[in-house]
Amino acid sequence: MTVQTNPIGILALQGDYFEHGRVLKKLGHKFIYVKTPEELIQVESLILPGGESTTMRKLAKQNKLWDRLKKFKGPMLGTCAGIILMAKEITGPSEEGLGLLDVTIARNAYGSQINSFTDMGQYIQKKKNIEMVFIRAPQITRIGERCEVIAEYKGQPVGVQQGNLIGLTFHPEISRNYDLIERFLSLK
Amino acid sequence: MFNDKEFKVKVGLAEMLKGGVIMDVTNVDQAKIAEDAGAVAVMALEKVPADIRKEGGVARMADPEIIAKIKQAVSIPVMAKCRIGHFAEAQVLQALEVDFIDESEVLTPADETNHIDKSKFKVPFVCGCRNLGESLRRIGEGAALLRTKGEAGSGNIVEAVRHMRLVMDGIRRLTVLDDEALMAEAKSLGAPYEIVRWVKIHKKLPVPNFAAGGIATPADASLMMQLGAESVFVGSGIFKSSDPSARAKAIVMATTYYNDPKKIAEISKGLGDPMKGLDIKQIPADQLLQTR
Repeated sequence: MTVQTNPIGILALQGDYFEHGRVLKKLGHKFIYVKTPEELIQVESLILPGGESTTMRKLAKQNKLWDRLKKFKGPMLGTCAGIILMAKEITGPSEEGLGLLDVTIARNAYGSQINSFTDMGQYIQKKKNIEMVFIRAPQITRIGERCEVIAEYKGQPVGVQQGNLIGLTFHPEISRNYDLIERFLSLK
Repeated sequence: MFNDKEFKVKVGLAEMLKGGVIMDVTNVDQAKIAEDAGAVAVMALEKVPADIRKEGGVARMADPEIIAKIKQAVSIPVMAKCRIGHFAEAQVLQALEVDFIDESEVLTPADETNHIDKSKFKVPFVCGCRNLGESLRRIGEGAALLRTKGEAGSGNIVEAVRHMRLVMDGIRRLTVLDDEALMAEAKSLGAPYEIVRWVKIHKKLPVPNFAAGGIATPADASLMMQLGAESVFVGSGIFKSSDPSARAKAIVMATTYYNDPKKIAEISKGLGDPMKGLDIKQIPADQLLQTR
C-alpha cells in the first residue's frame, strides 16, 4: 500500500458532498471539503459531486475557483452534475463546461424527477453488474476519441474515463456499490 | 424500511438539493431571477406567503398554467405546493410532473385531521415540522424531505430557530435513551416506533432536513445552516425585498459559506431593504400558519 500524503478533495459548493465524504470515510481515505482556492491547492485529486450544475458553476465563478478547476491536473471524478461541469460541451440548455472531459452532455435527459430511477447497469472492465441511481440524470450524447466507456446502462454509455478523469451520469455515492469510486481512487 | 428503491430515488433528489437555496416564485420572470442567482430549485406558487397572509381567503394549489410555464422557463427542479390532506391537488401536481410536492401549511388545509399518504406517490414530498414528533409522523407517511415550518411570510426567523432546535434536541435526546424507554418515547412523540428506533441508532433523521419560514437575510441563512439545516427555503424574503436579485445571490452565497463570517459580512453589504417582517407576538393566534 502506498501512503497517501495529500487528502482527496470534494468540491463542497453545493450538492451531495457529504455522501461522497461518507463513502471515502468508509473506504478509509483522507479527504477535505473544498470551497475555496486555498483548499483546492491542498488536494491532489478531486470529486465533483451531484447537485445542481448551474448553482455550482455560478458559485465557482464568483469565488475564483472556476479557472483553477479548468487547470486542475490530478485525478477527477464527476458524478451527475459533476460530469456536466467536467464536459467540453453541454446541451439542454447550452452552458459552459470546464472543458476537461471530451464528451457532450445533455442535461435532464430523462426528464423530471418522476423519471428518476435506480436499476442494475454494467461496469464494463470488471464485467460486473452494479446498482446505478439516476436522479434527473444527464446523458452522454457524444464521446471523444480519447474517452473510454467504463459503464453502460441498457447499451448506452453512462460512465467514461479519459486518462485520470472519470465522469458518471449516475450516483455511486448513494448506491451500495463503490467499485467505480475505487477505480477513481486508484488513478494517479 | 428506508432501503426500498423508490424511497432511495426520492431522498436522492433531496440529497442533491443540499447546501442550496430553494426560492418561492410566482411567475416566469421571478423563476429566471432565481435560477440566475443560483437557486437549486424554485417553488412555484400563486402568491408568496406574505401576500397570502395579507389578502386572506382560501389559499390553494397554484394554477397549473403558471406551474407549466415556470417548468418550461428553467432547467432547475420545480416544486409546487398542495394543501395539507388534499391528495387530489397532489395528484394534479404529479400529473404536471413537478419535481417535488410541498404539502404545505402555507395553503389553507383541506383536511384538519389527516395528511396525504405520500408513499402512494412517485413524486417526492416535502413537509413542514415544528418538532421531532411531527417530523417523524411525516416521514411515516412517506415524506422524503422535511423543513422547519417557522412562520411563513413573517420575515422573522424566531420560529424557524425554535423548530430547528426542537427537532435537533429531540434527536439528541433519543440517542441517550435506553432501548427500554423507546416505546414510551414513541408514544409521547406520537411517532412510529420503528422510525424512532432508526433515529436513535443512526443519530440523525432518515431524510434531509431544511430550514423554512422567516429567512430574510444572508445571516438568517447562515444561522439556520449552523443550527443543523442542510439547505434553506426562502419564501417572501427575496421578492418582498427592495433588490430581489442581489439578495437572492447573497443568500445563495451565504448558504454555501455559512461558517465563514467574513464572507457573510462581505456579501451582506448594500443589499437594500430586507422585507419588513412581523413580530410573531403581534400575529393573532388564529392567523398563525405553523399550527395548521
